[in-house]
Amino acid sequence: MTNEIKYFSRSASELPMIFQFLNTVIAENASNLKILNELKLSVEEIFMNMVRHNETTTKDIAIRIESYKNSISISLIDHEDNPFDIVNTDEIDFDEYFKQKKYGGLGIHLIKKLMDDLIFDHDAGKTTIKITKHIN
Amino acid sequence: MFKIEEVSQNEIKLIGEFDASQAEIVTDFLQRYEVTLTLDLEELSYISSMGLGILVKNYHRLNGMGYKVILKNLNEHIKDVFKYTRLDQLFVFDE
Repeated sequence: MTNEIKYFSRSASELPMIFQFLNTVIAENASNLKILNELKLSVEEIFMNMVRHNETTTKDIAIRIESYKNSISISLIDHEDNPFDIVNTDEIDFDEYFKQKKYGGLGIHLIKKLMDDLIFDHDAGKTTIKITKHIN
Repeated sequence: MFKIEEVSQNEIKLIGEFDASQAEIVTDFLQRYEVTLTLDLEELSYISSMGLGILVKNYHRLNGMGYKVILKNLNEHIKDVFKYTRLDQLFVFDE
């Protein structure tokens, strides 16, 4: 089992370093590029949501990767008082989405489709969003 | 690493990883085109939801002018992203 944590400042320019962190830790346990890309997409979506929608702190965002024989879990941890629970969001009405010519807001839907588990937790001013993907 | 290249007046190639940090570059690049546009994704290894949003925004912009956006050479990850968001019903695929 691998358990590593790193801290990233609140900027889209951190994404290459975050992907490098994922590449290094995950590649040791899962050589499947498709799984790696699914994890990257989910981490980017959660990270960018924290950067864009939480203006109450300037503290770094922590990313913890736990890699097991048959699964990989990644937790993103942020400091906030009024969290947004991404687990309890409405399903997208795609007919309406296309009719209104929308072009954003697909990220959470994608995480739910691509990941095997998604957990939201908020305690003592800290939000933790944990995604899990089964490898085999 | 990410690159965007013009193949011809109506075809461009996206190369590498299209994440949120590339949003402004791609938005500015695509804005110049007012034609039926082909996007060659053969060397695009990764796209995020923000990247997807930029492609959809340009689809609506060009579609409003009577043009199409044609996608070709998608890898498995990118095909899945289009399938799960039902955007495979919106774009034209040249397979």
